[in-house]
Amino acid sequence: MTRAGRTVLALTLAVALFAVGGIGLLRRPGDAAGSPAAPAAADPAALAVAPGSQEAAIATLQQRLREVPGDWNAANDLGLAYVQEARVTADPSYYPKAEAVLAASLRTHPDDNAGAYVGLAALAAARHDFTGALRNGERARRLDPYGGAVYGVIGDALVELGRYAAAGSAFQKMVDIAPGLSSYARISYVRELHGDVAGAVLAMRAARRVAGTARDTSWAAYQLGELAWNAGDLAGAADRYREAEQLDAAWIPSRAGMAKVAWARGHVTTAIARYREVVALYPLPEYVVALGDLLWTTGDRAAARQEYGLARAEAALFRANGVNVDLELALLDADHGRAGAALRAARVEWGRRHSIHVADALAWALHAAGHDAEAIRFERRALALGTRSALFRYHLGMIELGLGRRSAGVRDLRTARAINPHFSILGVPAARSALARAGASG
Amino acid sequence: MSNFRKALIAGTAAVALGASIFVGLAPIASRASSHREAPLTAADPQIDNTDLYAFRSPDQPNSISFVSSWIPFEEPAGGPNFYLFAEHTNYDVNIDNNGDARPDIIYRWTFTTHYRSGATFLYATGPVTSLNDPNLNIYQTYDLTRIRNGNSVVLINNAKVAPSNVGAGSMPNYNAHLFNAAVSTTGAGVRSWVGQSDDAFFLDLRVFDLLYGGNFSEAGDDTLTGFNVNTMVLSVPRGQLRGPNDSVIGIWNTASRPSMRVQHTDGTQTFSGNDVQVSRLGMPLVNEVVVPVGLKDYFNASKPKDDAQFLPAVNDPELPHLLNAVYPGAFPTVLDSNPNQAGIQRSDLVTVFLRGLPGLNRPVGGSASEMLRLNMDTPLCGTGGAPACSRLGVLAGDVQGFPNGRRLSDDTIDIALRVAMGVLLPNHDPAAETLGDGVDANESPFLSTFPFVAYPHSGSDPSPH
Repeated sequence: MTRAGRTVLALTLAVALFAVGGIGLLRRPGDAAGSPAAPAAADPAALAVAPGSQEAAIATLQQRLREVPGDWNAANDLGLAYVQEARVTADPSYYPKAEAVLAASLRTHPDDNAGAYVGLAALAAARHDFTGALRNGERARRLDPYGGAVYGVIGDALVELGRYAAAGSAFQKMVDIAPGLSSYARISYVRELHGDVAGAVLAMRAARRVAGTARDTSWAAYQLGELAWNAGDLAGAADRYREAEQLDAAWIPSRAGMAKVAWARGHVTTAIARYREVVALYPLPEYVVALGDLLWTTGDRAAARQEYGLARAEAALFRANGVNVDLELALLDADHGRAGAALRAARVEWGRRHSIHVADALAWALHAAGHDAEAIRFERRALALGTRSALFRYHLGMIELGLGRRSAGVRDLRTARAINPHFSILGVPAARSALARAGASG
Repeated sequence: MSNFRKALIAGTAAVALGASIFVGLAPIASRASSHREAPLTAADPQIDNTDLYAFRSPDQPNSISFVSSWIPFEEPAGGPNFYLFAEHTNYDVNIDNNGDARPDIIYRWTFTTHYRSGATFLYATGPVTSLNDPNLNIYQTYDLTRIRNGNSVVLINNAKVAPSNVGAGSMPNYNAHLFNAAVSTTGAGVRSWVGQSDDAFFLDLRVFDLLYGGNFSEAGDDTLTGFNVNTMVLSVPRGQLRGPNDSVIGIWNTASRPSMRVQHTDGTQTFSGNDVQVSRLGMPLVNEVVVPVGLKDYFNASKPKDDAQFLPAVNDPELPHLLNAVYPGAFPTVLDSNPNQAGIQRSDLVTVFLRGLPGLNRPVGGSASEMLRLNMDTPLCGTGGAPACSRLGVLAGDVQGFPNGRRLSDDTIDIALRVAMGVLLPNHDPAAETLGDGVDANESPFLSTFPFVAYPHSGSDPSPH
């Protein structure tokens, strides 16, 4: 993230934290230690943007629209760039901006404007409104049935809605008309969801081979790292994360991957330091929670709670910008002693969509609330595609033990550890304890 | 193709908007376990074909040269500032030499990327003084294959691509040691060069503001000044290209990539599926002047033999309507080659874009299809008794130029604007004869010998634009 992006983020987070009453900790851009500080307000250097950067792209597009307000293609590009900037900076205030510029594009050019609907679909998906994403994707498809990105947004929405067969068809169509990094990567994901890990790796390798920029190659290398990680291949994951980091130092997730690897290798202090760096640059709730979990396992519960509080504050900020975060909150709350809230959020999300990830979150929230009989139905649904997920398998094992099904529970916890011994910062020690309580060593 | 032209139309906005910034248009408030962030590339620059040129080689008039450029708006400086061709992708020059709108000869480049060191992803680890210099850590090689009558022959194997000119610090004598050194030849007189070059296209992009209700009163700047492209140049003796009927060949670029199966029911995996055409480019400006916005992706996947479907779009293109809307009264004549027939007829555009000019580059028995058409026998301009060279090509009587093939120096924008506004029709408005974007030549000199394209701008140039 550039300085400008980080400053915007710091300001936004400051507002968010203020809005929820404050948690006494503000991260300043580049301040990895996370010491209390005022947000950088008027840093003149923040105005300078690197050529070729996302900020430069946005500035150029804004300038373009000032000069030629009728350029609806530029408006569509700017809308997508805003959605992307929200992701890169973890700052959801770009979403309303994206919405405004895409709406303006449609006012200027109401007909034949597939690009605007692709942008609206990407925006809706970013806000976790997958029904809206599908609706806009279908509009785009009627206008441009040969656009690869059109089938990308449609398939993405279908995956999140749990309609996997239809998603597979959309991605097949996408790759048949637009083979390339975008479509290969999606095929990789569908194969992974169906438990075809080797096929997922092949497709992601193809994605890496057609990627021509260092940034795209880095992205694909990182995904290969994730695939290796999820399969328990620690060394392979570390190699790919390091490769991704070397190709594009600005891609923060590969640093988070290295932090994860440090934890898996038992270097907890290093892992915490690395996660602090990551979170200072890119406070994705996932990383904030991971940092909190790491602190929790070291016994520093106060520091951990601070991170969980930050994650919840971020969730409030996302919600204020139109992002639905019920699934994420359900997982956070189920893992951290708020079973009632977790269950409410998960049931709301299940009312919206039936993906395997929502089924898993609902099952885990039911387990946390003590409803294991209901939980096991949903956890089995979560595993119905045959996904090789250590986390899902761990959840299943814990639910089975909760139901008194000792042998099944022990078997599934062992399976989880066989798939990936480092599947979760909190789950690994919890599984170990559960196996010990069940009289099984592991 | 469409992406570049969309980029043109979006003006310099596209400069910073490579495909890569669109990586991961996906939710952020999610855990990685529950939501894969996958890129939704709005642009795919490696298969974005900027231009195709075809002309008699000025240094070997008995051969024809083909120039294909890809990856628009390469910034010479700023990191990362090196640009690679895609692997797993066929880059093709297709040639129809009998007028049936099907490729009779295909020249195909395929690329492999090499990393000398697994420990670093730096482009250069020290000064690079030759194509084989170990300091060039990342380099590409290519195979050039000719496919004729279904038979594939590898003409050039494992040749080096001239690297991106990242700056004098890393590449102290780029032009002589790297650019010029990348020429490969075969015993049969085929020459191939692949590498980075200056973008030979010159125009003022603000012309395209017309499409958005702007005007081009501010024209006159070459908006592509200082940008590079990745280019392959091929030179082939005419005798290897000539068809059975005449000396007219039709030329178009395509890029194709393998599809793959989302899932395999039999449990096996294959890396690749059928090749899918993802880019098509023949004549310049077809996508802007002719193909409607909603059909651009479709056009990129289409084949010349099916081009009759685009006839309505050619007969009633968008540009004259736009010019009439922006400059009411400037073009009072309704452009129609045959007012007695219902609907707008533009037989002049059909001739230029789909058939070729009679007596010059229209093939015997040719069918209507969009490609660059070149009469390989037209003498070089300014030689012998041939007409003087002109940037306006055929419009100025220089019949060796566009739209009889396309030379690097042809002023495509001015020609296309005038043609679109009816300059080839007898009843056209006089204003059509003076239309132009105010940019008449490229900013960098073209080379007089193979590979003809201009040297790329250096990464150490502090202000390339």
